[in-house]
Amino acid sequence: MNKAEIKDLSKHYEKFDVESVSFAVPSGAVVGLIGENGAGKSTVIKSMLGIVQPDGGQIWFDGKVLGQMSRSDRQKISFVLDDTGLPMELDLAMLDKVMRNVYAGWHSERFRELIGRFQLPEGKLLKEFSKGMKMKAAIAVALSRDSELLILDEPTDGLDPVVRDEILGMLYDYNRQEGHAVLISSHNTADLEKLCDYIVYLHRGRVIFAEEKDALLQKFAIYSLDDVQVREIDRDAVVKVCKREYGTDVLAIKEKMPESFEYSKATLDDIMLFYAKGEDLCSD
Amino acid sequence: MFGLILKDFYNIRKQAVWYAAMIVLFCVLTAAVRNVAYGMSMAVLVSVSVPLTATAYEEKDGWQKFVIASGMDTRTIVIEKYLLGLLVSLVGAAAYLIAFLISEGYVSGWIYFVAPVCLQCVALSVVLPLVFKFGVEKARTYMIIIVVAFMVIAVGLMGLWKSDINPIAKRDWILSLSFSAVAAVALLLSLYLSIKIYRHKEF
Repeated sequence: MNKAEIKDLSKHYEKFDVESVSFAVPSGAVVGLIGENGAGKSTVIKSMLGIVQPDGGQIWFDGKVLGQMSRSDRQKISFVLDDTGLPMELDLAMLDKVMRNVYAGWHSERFRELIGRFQLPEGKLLKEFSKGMKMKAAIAVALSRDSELLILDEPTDGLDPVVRDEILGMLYDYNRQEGHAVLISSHNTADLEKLCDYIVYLHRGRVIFAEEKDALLQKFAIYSLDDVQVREIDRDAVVKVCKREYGTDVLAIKEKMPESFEYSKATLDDIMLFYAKGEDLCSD
Repeated sequence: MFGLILKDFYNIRKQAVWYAAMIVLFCVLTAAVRNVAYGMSMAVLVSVSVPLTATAYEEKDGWQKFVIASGMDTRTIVIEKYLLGLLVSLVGAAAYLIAFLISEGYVSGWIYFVAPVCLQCVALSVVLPLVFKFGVEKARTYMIIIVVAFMVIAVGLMGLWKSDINPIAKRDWILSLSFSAVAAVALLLSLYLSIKIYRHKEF
């Protein structure tokens, strides 16, 4: 059962398009949305949250079409936006009172517990918080209401490793609850490698792959080859190449490559880098 | 809805003190110099400034995205801003009523009370769709032009009203009802327009 499903999503801007984006967020899974700046991650997330209107495609949550969902159904989707979206002139007590009247399934006790756990200062206005504290407050808001799907847009961007680790821990705990799922976009692929079950890679507004993380990391490998070796290899095995001073680095499908060739494991960062900066292998 | 209003009041709590002080000051002036134009001008200005300030905070914080993502209905989001404006107008009207009674403005006719209150609603009706369409920065410029225009119209109307040659001057209640009807229609039309604008808005 999929918690969320996107099919053929498209959105056209003057200088940028998101085209035919399709992927699913299975129940119980953490799905990581990766891609370079401007790849379309935020557009996809905003479309899922109803903040932008897609030009085409469909979005379902628990089998229901986004545009036809009731407010209570929509409130089962929790989220953390990259700029948090919280009113910065409020302190946490005020925020609690506001959210109590915005969300039907708001839990003040849970909010207070999370504030304590995150060591957020209660007397200060949100605008006086550090970037990490603001993000923690946004996560506390997202986790203090009844929800089954948590969507996060760059929640760990610009945060120090300690805060990032705390946040990842919270997300892990959230996902362990039955029927929950998480969709998280991030530049920090190392975090996603730790947390995610599936990876969706967006490049220039298109899905390059949407696969299980372990299978994906097994599938690709990086080979440092000389010109002779490059001529020998199966063209179908090669995903992208990067010319270096010492030879050619190749991102390739491991099972199609000669077993005698040495390789190193490809990380999500490597895969992104090859797709963003690499070239196709010419047949001549 | 209550959550949205509460958030707005928290956001503007510091400015609210100044707005309240200005209303009081201008109403005292109205009573002292027996000229309703002071109180009326301030009431109109405050009734549109408060929703504008509240929206400016929302734009700065990205709250509009947050509240839409929370599944809040477009109509509720828009109506809340009208409600905020009307609540402020009500406070302004109450202060203005006191000044009006003290300055014995009713001797000239109740239309001197009804017209400014209706003018607040009409100003709100014009400004809010602009805010929803263009954002606060641009709408603020339009607002200044509109408020000045409204004040000129109001002062002109009142001059006409005082004139002995105006034959309808004695029909106070007809004009009061007409102004109220115009204000109500303007509010409804404006609300309809704002909802249409907001429905197609992206953040």
